[in-house]
Amino acid sequence: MRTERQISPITIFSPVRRWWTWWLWASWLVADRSALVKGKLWDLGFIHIAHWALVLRRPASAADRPGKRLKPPYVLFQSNYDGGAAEYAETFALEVPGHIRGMWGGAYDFPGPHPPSEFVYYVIDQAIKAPEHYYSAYPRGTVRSVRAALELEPRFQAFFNQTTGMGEMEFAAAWQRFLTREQRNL
Amino acid sequence: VRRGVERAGLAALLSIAPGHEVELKALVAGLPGGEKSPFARLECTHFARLVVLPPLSYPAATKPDNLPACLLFASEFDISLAGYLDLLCARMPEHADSIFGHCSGYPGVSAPRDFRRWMLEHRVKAGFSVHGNAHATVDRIQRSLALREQLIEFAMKTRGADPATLLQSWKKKKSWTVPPTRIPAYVGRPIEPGPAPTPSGGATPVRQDDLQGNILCGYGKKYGHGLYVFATVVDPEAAAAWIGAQVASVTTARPWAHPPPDTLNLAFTCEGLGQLGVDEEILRSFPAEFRDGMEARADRLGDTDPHRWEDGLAGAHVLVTVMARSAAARDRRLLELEEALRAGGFSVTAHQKTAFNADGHEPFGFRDGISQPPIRDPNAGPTRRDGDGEPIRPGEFVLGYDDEGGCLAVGPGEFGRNGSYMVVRKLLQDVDGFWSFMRKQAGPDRGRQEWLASKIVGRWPDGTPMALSPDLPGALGSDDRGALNDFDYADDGKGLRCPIGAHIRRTNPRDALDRHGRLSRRHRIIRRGMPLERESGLMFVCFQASIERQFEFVQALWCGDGNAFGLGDDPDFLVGPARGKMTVQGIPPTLLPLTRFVKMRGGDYFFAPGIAALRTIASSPSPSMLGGE
Repeated sequence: MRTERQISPITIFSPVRRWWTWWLWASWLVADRSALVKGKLWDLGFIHIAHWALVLRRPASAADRPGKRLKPPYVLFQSNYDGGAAEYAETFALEVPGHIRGMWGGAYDFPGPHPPSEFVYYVIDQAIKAPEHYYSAYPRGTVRSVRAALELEPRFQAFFNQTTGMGEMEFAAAWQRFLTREQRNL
Repeated sequence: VRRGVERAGLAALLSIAPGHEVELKALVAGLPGGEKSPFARLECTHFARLVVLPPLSYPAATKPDNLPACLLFASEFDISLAGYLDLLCARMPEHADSIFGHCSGYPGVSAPRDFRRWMLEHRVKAGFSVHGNAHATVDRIQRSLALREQLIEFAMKTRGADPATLLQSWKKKKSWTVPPTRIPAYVGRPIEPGPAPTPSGGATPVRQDDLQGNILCGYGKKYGHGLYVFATVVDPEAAAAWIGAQVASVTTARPWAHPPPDTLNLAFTCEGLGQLGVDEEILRSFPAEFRDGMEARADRLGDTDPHRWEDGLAGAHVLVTVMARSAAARDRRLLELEEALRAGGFSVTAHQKTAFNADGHEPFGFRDGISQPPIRDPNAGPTRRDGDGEPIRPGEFVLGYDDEGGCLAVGPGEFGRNGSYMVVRKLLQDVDGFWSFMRKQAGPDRGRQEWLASKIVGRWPDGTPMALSPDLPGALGSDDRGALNDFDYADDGKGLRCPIGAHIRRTNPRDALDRHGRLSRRHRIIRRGMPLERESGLMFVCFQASIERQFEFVQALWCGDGNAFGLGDDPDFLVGPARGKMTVQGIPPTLLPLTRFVKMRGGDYFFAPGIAALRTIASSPSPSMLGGE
């Protein structure tokens, strides 16, 4: 019996200085298209999704259309990840401190990525603790196990096709080779 | 991963209509999870969330303005945004109306075009996004995951089968298709705010005379007979007086001019400190995990049956630890202590005797306690520096000093100085079951059985690390701890020497997670465990400055799960939950089913205070003196 995976969602609204929004607009134009910038985050292997967005205006309402400009503006960060919030933030601080500075450098009270415990505290303090509903279509699939499964699937299909008509000895050898080759995905 | 569908996403910030916040909160919190979630009806949805945001403001900013209470709706899906919103109107109309109906200007799903426009007006466009698996649809991910599980099951069932049986089983397997995915309820982890860390004022040497012994520096194998006495406070005033009388006898970390015949140390649970009248404010300043105690954290630790724990090991108030040079001396101390504790206002709830085996091996037969973190402090203790890796700052283990992040650990300020959190767990080991499992899996050859067991542990029984000598024990020609610890996993990324899920690789991954081993260094513990006497098992004891970041992290995330190592949810063979499998990488690999051979029998979280704090405890006004109970 396997226990259910615990994918965690996090939502953070960070108030930022106005001039920081200009930096974010400019840097995101480049960074969102940069495999180099995204690659390091992808390599961490526990982020299902992570989005950063700027919230510059209050949401429009019947009494306030369009929404008034917010003072200060906010950075909205939302992510789904494997593990707990503290581990997530700590790994960010240790592994991608430059990214952290680039995202939150102009946020009020931002302590910087070092020391990591202060950044962890900042993240946990800023995280929205409110009633929520969360849904995942594959709550038992971690980022890494999904990657492994996706890599395995076409290779298995190829192996499956090859084995048609094989005799006992030939199949046993082919199975061992398949297992050896795919052990990191199992 | 093949490139396929580009995923689309939506985040919308919707104003909650005045007066609707409370009702919406209840509605969102009460929505069914998992496969009953309304979003499960939209089969193209990867993730979806609804968060009722409280009003936000930041007073320190110039001209502060509030972000009013809003509903955040965010979703990731495989089709176009317009198509998704139409699908939402079609598949979950009643939920959409009941949820979004609490938001200003909601047009209703009966007018899908207006609904789409309304949602897009409130859209918050992401400026920078990262996707873990961006190019696969929900359907493909679910099918691939199911296929992977089926393959693992088949590989484990047919392990060791002869070619004829193997082929027969393969042919019997009618299809490798996917059963409908059952989506369990969401069990996401709550985010709990804790006290803020304090930047330290710089490195200072450890105060040996205020630090209890056996924390940074062990007493050594000469003190090979241990005693753990668990007691509760019955008479707080008498108990405080007894503690006061013991302070001078408590063994400190100060180097010994003459080794004592035995040692004495004291540690307290949070409840125990409260019973002894320690100030409520001090108690509140302890981190949540210590205040909760081990039993309350059983779920996180993977301890499935705390109701079956031995009586008296959890819920005690004080733990008295004695290390003696002989069993007779230790037993004498037990008699004395039991009487003294009773007379001193305590009730003894349990005691546990321990003893090092003559060969220094734990019950499964493996040399234990080889790897300990070296401490970056000249006052850490008189023993040789034989730990692994770069020395670690003392603040990782003792409160009041710099940790690896340059901060002081969270704790009760001055009261916590020179104290350390102590985790105690009584673990029973099924030695016969363990070796019978090895026989079943590896065959009758004893060498092969030892090889398999060593792969599980990550070291040969004599302590030789698999990472250095995967084929033979004793190949280093030295049993020096320094030599046995001088290795990393940089050139064994595939786990062909030391399996990726081996016990020692999980509990101290060294450089397996990052090139410099920085992540490992934040999760080290100092182990001071000892085998049980007359029982097969271990009194696991460890010291650290943060139970949550150190012991709990290692136990729950590195041993209880395999994701950090790219092993899915495969847990540690020895101390993880009995589910899943262990892969011993090789040519071919060996897939082992998991059975629990180590059982948790009870324990708790204690605080081993500094000597000054012990005096404070002894002089604390007891609750009865304060008019409490």
